[in-house]
Order: sequence, then structure tokens, then C-alpha cells
Amino acid sequence: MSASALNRLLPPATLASLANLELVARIAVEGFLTGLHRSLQHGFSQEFKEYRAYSEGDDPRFVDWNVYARTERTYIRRFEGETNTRLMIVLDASASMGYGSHAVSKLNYGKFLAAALAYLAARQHDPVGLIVFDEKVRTHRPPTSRSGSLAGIFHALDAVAPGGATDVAESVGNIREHLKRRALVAVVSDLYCDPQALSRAVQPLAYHGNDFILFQLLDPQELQPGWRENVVLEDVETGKALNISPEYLATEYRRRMDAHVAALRAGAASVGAHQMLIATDEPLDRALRRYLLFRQRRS
Amino acid sequence: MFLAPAFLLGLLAVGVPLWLHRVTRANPRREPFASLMFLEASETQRTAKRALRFWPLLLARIALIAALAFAFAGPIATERIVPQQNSNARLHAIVIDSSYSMRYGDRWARALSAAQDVLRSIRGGDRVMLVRAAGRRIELVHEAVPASAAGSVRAALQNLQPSLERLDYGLVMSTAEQWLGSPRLPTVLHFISDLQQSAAPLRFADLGPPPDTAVAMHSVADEAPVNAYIAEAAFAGDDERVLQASIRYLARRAQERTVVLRIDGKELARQIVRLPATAPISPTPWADSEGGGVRMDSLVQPHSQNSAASRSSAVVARFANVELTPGLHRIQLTLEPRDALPHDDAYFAVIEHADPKALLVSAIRDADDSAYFEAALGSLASPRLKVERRTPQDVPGAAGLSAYSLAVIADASALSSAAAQRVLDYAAAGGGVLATLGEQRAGGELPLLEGWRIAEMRNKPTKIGEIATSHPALRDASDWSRERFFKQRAVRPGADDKVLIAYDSGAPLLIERKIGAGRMLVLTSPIERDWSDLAIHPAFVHFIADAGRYLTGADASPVSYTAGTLVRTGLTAAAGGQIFDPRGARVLTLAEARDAAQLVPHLTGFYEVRGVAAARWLAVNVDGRESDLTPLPANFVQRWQALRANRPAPIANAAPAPARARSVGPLLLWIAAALLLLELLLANHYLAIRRG
Repeated sequence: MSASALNRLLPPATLASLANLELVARIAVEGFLTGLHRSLQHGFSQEFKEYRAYSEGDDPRFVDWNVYARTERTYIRRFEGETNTRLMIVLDASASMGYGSHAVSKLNYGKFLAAALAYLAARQHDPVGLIVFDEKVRTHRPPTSRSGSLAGIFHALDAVAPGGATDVAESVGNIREHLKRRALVAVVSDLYCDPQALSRAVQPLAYHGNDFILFQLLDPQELQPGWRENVVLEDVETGKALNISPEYLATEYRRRMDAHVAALRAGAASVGAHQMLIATDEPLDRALRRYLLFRQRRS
Repeated sequence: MFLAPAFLLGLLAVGVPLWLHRVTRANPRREPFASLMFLEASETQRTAKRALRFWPLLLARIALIAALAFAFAGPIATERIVPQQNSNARLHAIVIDSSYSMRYGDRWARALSAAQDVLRSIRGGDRVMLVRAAGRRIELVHEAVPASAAGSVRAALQNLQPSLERLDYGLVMSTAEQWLGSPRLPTVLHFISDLQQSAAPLRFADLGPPPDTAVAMHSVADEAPVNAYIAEAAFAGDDERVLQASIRYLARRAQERTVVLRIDGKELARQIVRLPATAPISPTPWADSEGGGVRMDSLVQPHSQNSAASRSSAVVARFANVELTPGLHRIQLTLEPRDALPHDDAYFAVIEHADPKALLVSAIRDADDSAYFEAALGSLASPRLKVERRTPQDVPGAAGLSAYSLAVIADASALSSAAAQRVLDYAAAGGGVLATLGEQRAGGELPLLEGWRIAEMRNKPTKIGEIATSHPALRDASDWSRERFFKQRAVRPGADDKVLIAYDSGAPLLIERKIGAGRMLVLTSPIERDWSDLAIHPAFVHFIADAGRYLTGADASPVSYTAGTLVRTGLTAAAGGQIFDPRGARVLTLAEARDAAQLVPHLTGFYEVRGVAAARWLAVNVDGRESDLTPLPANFVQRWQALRANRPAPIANAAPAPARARSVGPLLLWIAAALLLLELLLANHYLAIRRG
């Protein structure tokens, strides 16, 4: 069985059974990339493309010393698909992310997604960093492409557990102090916040040249509640409970949820960001595919 | 109406599911959820509305409890057999003749069509029943049901098939009162038949219908039926090597048919016969012969079979030089080509030619009785028997005995139990035994003659008082009246045994006992000079000759049985065995194999009976009377329909009929079981959703 097929047959619940987060990322990404056809021009091959003059900050590992010996100028080798984009992964670890109606909670799915994104970036030598937050920033690893940084990110992701309540918009606004240079910011969260407040928080960062992609993770039970009788639902962040009828869940709740998602999408678009809704029972490669399409459009 | 109305209090239990469903409404489950950002508390009426989803389950539970309560209360439904408001109601009994002749042409299809017409003509308040008549069985296919349920009768009609058996119309009518039932509605007996003349009973009075019953004839007879069949096969009396096949027929025009003779499955000869048209004056028929090593004589003496009863004619085909080796042979005569009634175009018979060996069992070699028997047996010209002598201790087993065509036991009391059992097994498998009671015997029972009471010998001269001269073994027994008997002993045989010769005193002298497929003749007097002078008179030699022929089957004609009649197979419960039908299929199941003494064959052809000692064959044919398609005269049918029962009807139309009470409880229990299943499915359905 090819790696691609393997990945496509690996639903989130199966990935969750793998203890090693790096293994999860490797299986997901390698399998996914193997399945891509080269003619799609997603630009992730490792074939040589051109030389570029060395500038400060470039990784000295890619300086072509042979050219330097001939010309006494430093050039670095560029490869097909290489983007040199910093990736900052921002993971929401609030209590609501710990919710899951099946084997994989939203936080676990977010960890898989973050690991896969980090692995994908490291594979093409892009600096990658990580911010984990709930009511405050709990983990911060600045973007770097040094060896060992990926393992550090995996280790940090492994240690993440659901925390307390949070205000996503405020937290996203607060990551500005951790972004020293332009980067692609991937926010992984359930985005239970005011869409306008979120737009306001993202807007100044986008003006500074950061690209934003908002991965909105929702459980299938949140998208289409399946209860057929009255149920008392208890908020995992606040502990507050409400007696809800199935009729309400089937009609009003869905209407409100659809409106919220649409507002998030519109708000993100208004500031040049991209919102992506992912249900936690979807295969991981679908999220990766949409992420790569997004990057291709931006490059 | 209820037998135990107190059980209706169980209906109060309906409150239990009502209460359970209300409680379920009041206690919703508690579940964690990511965010209440888009949620609001539901209104109370929405909760009440949600309970409507459980109505199917609630209704199933209530219906289950109600069904159980009603079932235990014992509801009784009454149904009046005779609705008083409709005195014109009738019971229509549709009787379909399923005998062999109904296979002719499209008779059966027309019979079914006639039955459908009767069903369509039934009025609303009438009842209808369906009866199938063939052989000795009058089968109630569908009991009486209201006209509204005639659909099930119609369905049962489609499953009927004609048989190979014969029907006697007298049997149908004389048993009608039993299968119609009583009391009943005034009845119309719809008799759907080809109205064969040969099916009429000997006594016209047997056709009388039961009281309050009218007979409606639905004839499916053809105006000019055509059929030829082999009615009989026998060896000529003057020459045992000439086999005669009697062919009877009804024909509108002359035709030629070929008669094929097969013995033991091998074709021996064939002969062309011409069947002249059946007419008041028949032309002289004739037959050609062709091929084969057997000489075929020309025939034939056509004659009307029974001019008073049938219009059919007959010809006889003779096959000369039919040499049969000793043993059992299967004879098959076939008319080719086959006609519209193919089963009677083949005639099957079995003939047993005597094996020329007889076994004489005698304790003392030089005894008088042994000498007399040996001399008498040795003098026989037909069959010519070679006599072998054995002592009672040397009586071979059943397999060894089967090599003899006759066993003569000079003294039955000299046989041990084991030897007697071997002889009985030999007889049961078809052997012939001639035995005498020994001189020494006094009182008690003998192993060979189970069930007999043998008294002490008395010295009282006597003579023969009674002789069954019609018996084949006593053809020349007129001289027996001159024999003198000096001693006698009283013997009381079994109930099924037949006394052939008795003394003046009434004590039996010669008794016949049937054992399985064989026979045993027993002389109660020893062949000794001091008992009688029988041995020195010619009557003894004649008797031995006739008894030898009778017991060995030396002069037996081909034997066959009729489909649908009871046949003795020769198998015993102790030894068991198996029977194979003409198609080669086993007739007996493992359980039936222990009770295989009798068989009712339903196919024509050779049945193979495999016992412990040897295999036998049973030939089965269609009853020839079914093949004679001559219809009943019209005036005969009119007189039949005009017959009325002399007895008064057991019921009166005006009298209220007794109501037949029927318990509905079992039906309700079945409904309760179905509801329980439904409740389980519904409950599982809802529970599965709740877990999700």
C-alpha cells in the first residue's frame, strides 16, 4: 500500500492511537505529498532551481562553496518550491478545545494539524515557530530552521493539555509581541469569539505583512448536534448548563452556527486572512491540501 | 363474552408505560458541550412536544398489555354454522375425482375449470369445502369455509394432481356422511368426474347420497375416448412356454401397436398387433410378428370384454418359446407407441419359477414319514424336485434355505427354537413349508407354530368332515373322505390361520398359515400307519403334488399388484429391510424400516424389496378398470342424481343450529408475541439514538 493510500485510510481516530506526534506528522505529510502529482506544481520537490546572492539571515548550510571558490562571492542554492517563509503556528489550548464527541478531541486534532504543518515547513527548510495559548501565552518557540527545532516543537505540542477559558480575539492580538519578522501565521482554534473582534485583532498584524490562515476546528456534534431528546448541555469552560430541546438544536442553533462561520469567513477576508472550517472527523490530508493551495496562491 | 373477566383488571397496567414515558420526559440527560455561545434554554412546551416521538413505542406497550389482559380473560367468539337469517344457505362440497382416468387428455384441466365455476357460483351465505377422491382414500383437502374465504379453496385446488389409483363411486357416496360432517347445512355435492362405467359400484344403492344432500354431476368425460392398455399377462394353460398378453382398447378407427416383451430388463421379442375400431361388429383382428429369437404366433380372438358393461374390445398377443430359468423374473410388456394414458401401456409382472430342490428335515432317516415324503416328492413330474435330507440340527440359515423352493418338516416338534426361527425367516421371505406335527408331541406350544394350542392325542377313529376343495393344494382331495384316521389330536390354531381340512369332530387336520410373503401347510397328524392309512392311498401323492406346486409356486401365474392397494412386502419388523420404488428411490425412512411388512405403492413398475436373506420384486400396475374409459350411460347418471336418502335429515333448516364457540385467546397470544417483538425493536431503536 502506498503512503498516500495509507494516509487516506488513516482517519483522525487512528492517528490518535499513534503515541509519537512526530510519527503522526511524518505519516500524514509524507503520505500526503507522495500522493500529490508533480504536475500540480505545488512546488515541494527538492530539485535545484537557481542561485541567489546571500543575504543576512540566510542559512549558511545552503551557501554553495564551490561558486564562492570560483567567484569569491557567496551564493546560496535555491530549490524548486522553496519559499523561505516563516511559519508561526498559534494553537488554542483552551478548555473548549478539549471537547470531543468521539475519539479525537479538537485539541488533539489541532496538535496533529500543527505537527503536520511544522513538519511540512521544516521539510522545505522554512523556519517554524509555535505559540500555545489559553487565557495567556503558555508556550512560545520563535521561528527557526535549525536542526532540532522541529523536535522541540513536537515536544512542546506533546505537552499541551486543555486549559481554562480564553478570549481568542484578545489572545491573537497579543501574539504581535512574539512576531519579530513577517511570517505566515496559522491559527488553530475553535474560534468561539466575536468575528469582528477577531478581525480587529488580526488587522494590524496583517498590515505588517503577516499572512493569516485561521483553522477553525469544530466537532461534528457542534456542527450537527444529534440529540433526539431534551438534553442538559454543560459548558466545559464556564460550567454553566442549559436544558436544550432537539428542535432548537436542529433549527436555531444551526442557523446561528452557520451565521457565525460565515461572519468569521467574511471578517477574515476583509483583513486579507483566510478562514478554513475543519470538522474533527475529516481526514487530515484535506486540511493540508487546503493549506497548500492557500500557500500556492500567496506565493 | 369472557371466561375469566377478572383478568381484565390487568388493563390497569396500561398506566405503567404511561408513567414510565412521563418520567423519561422529566429527566433529560446531562452532557458536556464546548460552548453555550449559540444556545438558549428551551421552552417547556417544546419538551412536551418532544415526547410525541415516543408514541409508537408507548402505543406498542399499551397494545401489548391489552392483548395479554384480553388473552388471559378468555374471550369466546361464537359462530353459527347455520345463520338463521339465511335459510337458503348451502354447503357446497366439491368432490374431484383424482383417479387415473382423469389423466386422459385435458380432463384434469376441465375438472379444475369446473371446480372454479362452482366456486364462482357460490352465494354470500354459503359455505364450501373441497374433497379429493382416489383409491381407498377420500381426502378432505379443505374444510368447510364461508364463501368469503373461497380464495383459500381456490389455492388448494391448484395443488391437486390426479393419481394412478382407482376410484369406486360407491366408496365416495357411502362415506359421504362421514367426511361431510354433521350437523351441517343442506348440502350440494358437486361431483366432478369423468363418470367411468367401470367405477360404478356393484350395488346401485351404494350411490345413494346422505340425507339432505343433492348431487350435482359435473362430467368431464369425452364423447369418444380412445385408449389401449395391457390388461393382463399369463402363461397359456396348455403350454407354460407361451405368454399371453391381453390388450383391451377403445378405438374410433383401426390402429396398429407394437407389443414389446422384456424379461429382467432385456428385450426378448416384439409383436405388431392390429386393433380394429371399436364397433358393435368388430372386424377380425390379427397380429404380425417380427424379429427376435422367439416365434410369435398369429392371434387373435377379439371379443367384447364385457358387453353388458363396457364397449371396449380385446385382442390377445401370444409370445411362444418363453423359456424361464428357475428363480424370480420380471416381465414387462409395453405397448408402443404410447397413447394419451401412458401408464397403462406398460404391464409389469413378476413370476417365480420353482427351483428344483426341496429340503426334507427329518430326525430319523429311516422313519416311515420320511420315506413317504421322499417317495411322494420324488414322484412329482411338475415341478420335478430333487430332494435333499437334513436332520433338525443341520437346518441351514436363511441364506442357505433360500436355495430350496420347498422345505418339508417331517416332525415340527423336533426343531429347536433356533432352527424353527430359521425356517420361519425362510417362509417370511417367500418360501414354502410343509410340516407335520410329530408323533411324540403332547401339549404346549411349538417354536415353529407360535400361538397354537396342541392337546393330547386321543385314540378315537374318525373321518374327514370338511375339505376346502377350492384351495389350490386340495384340487384332488375328493378321495380324502375315504381315509381312515385312528388317532387324532385337537389343535387350536391362531386367529389368522385357515383350516383347510377338518375331522368329523371339527378338529383341524390341515391348516394353512401365512408367514410374511410365504406360506406354511401343517398336517396335525403324522404320516404314520398307526395314525392313519393316508400314506398308502393315492390321495397322499396327489396332495403332495398339489401342495408342492402350490408352495413352490410352480404353477403360479405372473403376479402383479395394483397401485394404491395394500401389498405385503415379506419384510419383518425384527429383520427390517428396505424398499426401492421404480425410480430407485428409497421408500422407507429409517424409522419406517422397522415396520415395513406392508406397502401401498403409488407408482407403476417394479419395486425392489431387499430383506436380510434375499431381494424380491413387486410388480405394480394401474388398475385396468381405470383404463377402460367407457362412460356411464346417461340414464344411469340421471337415476343416480334422482336418488334421495330414505332417512330423515339430522338437522332441520328452521331449527336454530348450535353455535360453535371458538376461543380467541390463542390468537391474542400470537398478537401479543408480535407486539412484544415490535416493542423490542422500537425500544432498541430509541435507545440506540439516545446513546448517540
